[in-house]
Amino acid sequence: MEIQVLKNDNIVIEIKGRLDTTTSPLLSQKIKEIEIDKDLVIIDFKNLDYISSAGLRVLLAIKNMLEEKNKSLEIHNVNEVIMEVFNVTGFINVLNIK
Amino acid sequence: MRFSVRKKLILIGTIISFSFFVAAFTISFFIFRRYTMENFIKSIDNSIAELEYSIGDQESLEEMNKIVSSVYDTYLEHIDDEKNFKSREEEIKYYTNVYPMMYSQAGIIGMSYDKITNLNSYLDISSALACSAISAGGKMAYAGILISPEVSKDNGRFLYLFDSKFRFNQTEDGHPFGSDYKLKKEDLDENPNSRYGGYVLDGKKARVIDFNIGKINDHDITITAFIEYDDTAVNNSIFVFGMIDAISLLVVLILLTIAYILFSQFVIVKNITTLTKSTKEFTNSVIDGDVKESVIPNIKSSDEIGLLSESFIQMEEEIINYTEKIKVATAEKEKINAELAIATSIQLESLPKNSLNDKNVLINTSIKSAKEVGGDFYDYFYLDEDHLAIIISDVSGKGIPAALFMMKSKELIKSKLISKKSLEDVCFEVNNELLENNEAGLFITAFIGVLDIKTKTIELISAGHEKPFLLSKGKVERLAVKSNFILGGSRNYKYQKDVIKLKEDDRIFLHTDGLNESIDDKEIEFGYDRIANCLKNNYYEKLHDILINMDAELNKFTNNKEQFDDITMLILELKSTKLEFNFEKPSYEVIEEVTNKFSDYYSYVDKNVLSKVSITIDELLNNYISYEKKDDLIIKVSFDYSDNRLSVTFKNNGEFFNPLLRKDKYIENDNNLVPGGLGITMVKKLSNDVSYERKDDFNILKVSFTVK
Repeated sequence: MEIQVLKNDNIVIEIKGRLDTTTSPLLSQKIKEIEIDKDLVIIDFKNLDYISSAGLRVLLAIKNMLEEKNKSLEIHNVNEVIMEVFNVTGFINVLNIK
Repeated sequence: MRFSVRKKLILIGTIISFSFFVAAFTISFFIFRRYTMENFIKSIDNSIAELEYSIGDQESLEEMNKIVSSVYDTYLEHIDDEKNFKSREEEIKYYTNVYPMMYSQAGIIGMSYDKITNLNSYLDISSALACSAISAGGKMAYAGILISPEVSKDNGRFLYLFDSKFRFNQTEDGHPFGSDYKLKKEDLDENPNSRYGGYVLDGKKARVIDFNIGKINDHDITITAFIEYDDTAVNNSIFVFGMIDAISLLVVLILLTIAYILFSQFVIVKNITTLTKSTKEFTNSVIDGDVKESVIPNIKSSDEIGLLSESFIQMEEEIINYTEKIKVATAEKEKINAELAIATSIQLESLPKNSLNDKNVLINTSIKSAKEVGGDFYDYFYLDEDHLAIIISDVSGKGIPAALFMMKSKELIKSKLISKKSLEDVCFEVNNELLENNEAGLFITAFIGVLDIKTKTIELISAGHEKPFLLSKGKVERLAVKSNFILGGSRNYKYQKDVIKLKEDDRIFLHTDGLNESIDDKEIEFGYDRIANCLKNNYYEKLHDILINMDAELNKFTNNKEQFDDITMLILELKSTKLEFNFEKPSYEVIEEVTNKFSDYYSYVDKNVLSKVSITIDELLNNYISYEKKDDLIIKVSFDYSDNRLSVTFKNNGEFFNPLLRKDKYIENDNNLVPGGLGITMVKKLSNDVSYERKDDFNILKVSFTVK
């Protein structure tokens, strides 16, 4: 998995590969290292193959952390399988997916 | 450093001039010296001859002789013959008294001059001799009438001295020459006939000029002049004349040298320089690719430079013509190269992809052409759902003809195979058809195989081709298949097939002879043993890596030498539909291992299905490893792909646990954001079928996915 962080008007985090048991801790770690100095954090799933429950838990943790800071999270470019995951788990109800 | 012709010519000219100068100077100096010496002697002899003439006739000489005799008589009167001197001092004292008397007697001679017809005085004779002496380059030392010691009875020689200086300034002992006077004749005379003789006087070189005037007791009486003779003076005079001679010679030679240099500059070097410059200019223009015409001048000269100039002009024309030809040829060659590149890409495009991964087989190929367009090819295609044809072939020859023949052969074999004839018939017909209108006499060697997926057998015909390698159960074997004749070799040849039974996971490695016949620096072939070893060493590698490692091994062996033949390799693996993993006391790392191997193995399956299976692997393995705390935990994962279903079976020897009994987790809003239980829900929802059973103390969960 590769994580790339871009800052423009927002913070954009691009994730490449898969977000599962092995790789989720890396995203968790990366988020802690970023200074959240923008109101909006976008996680771009353009190059993400799939996400497992371990990944979902990290997403949830990020969302909670941002909300505490009055920041918001958006998930962009979600593929078919991931969208299915969001659907069957109900994450579609709590995540801002664009 | 460049040493130009100009400098060389100047140097050579200078050396020659200088050598010539040294030689000429040396020769002329000696000739001059000899000549001068002879001239002096001649002039002295002439003086003496003149003197003789002046003295005149015999009568005068007799008269003179008489006078001398009378003086001598007087002399004798005063000499005491019996006198014995007790000492040298006594002798000197005696003669000191005698000489004045002698001189007065001698005066008689002087006074008797009028009796001699042609001479005015003895002094005149003396003067004449002195003149001769000076003209001989010397200085008159003494002159007088010489009577030999035998006659004069004393140590002296002169009876009478002409020189007044000596007459009045006698030496201490009164003797005109001093007590130790010695006159010794030396062999200094260059001319024995001359009367100008060589003596040593008081240790100095001297010349004597004598003139005979009579005899007393058979001893000659002469008028004699002693000339202190200084060789240096003569030599100096000769040297000065010699130097003048030499300098004029040098000046002439320097002028000649300058003339020579100017000549060589303007006539030879100038032409050479012009030729060199223009040739350089022309050469540069050729190098720059902008060929200038008529740069080299025509030097009209009858010598070699003229000839050279003509040759250069001829060469210039040749080069211009040649360059033109090359330009045209290059343009044509570039065009051909471009077309060859297109041909190569068409040829490569005509071959199937270099890898195939479907549910039946894995195939990897590599083709490395020695020339742009090669004569090797491989091919694989399904004849129907259960039959896969595999071909590898080597066309005789290289380049365009081989490429065209290869295309023809490839299409011919394919069409015959697709028509579902037996393999023997396919080869029989291909062979005969390739022989038709084949004036170039091209042929191919080929391995043609048809793999039956269901029976896992491969029928093959090896037509003059390298035998295949079989990789099975950890062993590598070069199959001893029947050797058939080449395709396009002999009309109506009957080809015989082999049938090989394969097992799942078996691999077959095919290659063209370019591989085993590649040679190293010592012309040793790569050979079958090295191929077999490489296959053995890479037995458990992926197909792609086996080919990469084979190529690396080959390059190492040949030391990256230029390749002489096309090298083509094809490796096929009969795939097992199943993939199994067994883990004892697994850690989280196994999740990644299973995921990677699985997605690689089933890469031909729809990507979305693969993602869903991957999620399933992640959820279940994570679950087991996290919650089953058993010390001897065993987890088995197996995959099976058949009938458009991809199934994953998870087994573990943990406590009874049926995840299907768990209630599905679904997050409706932010209020129930408690993580956990999501994984099983996802597996159930993403898959098409999930079943659980407890068997032999194992939890068995089978998850299936439909593949479209």
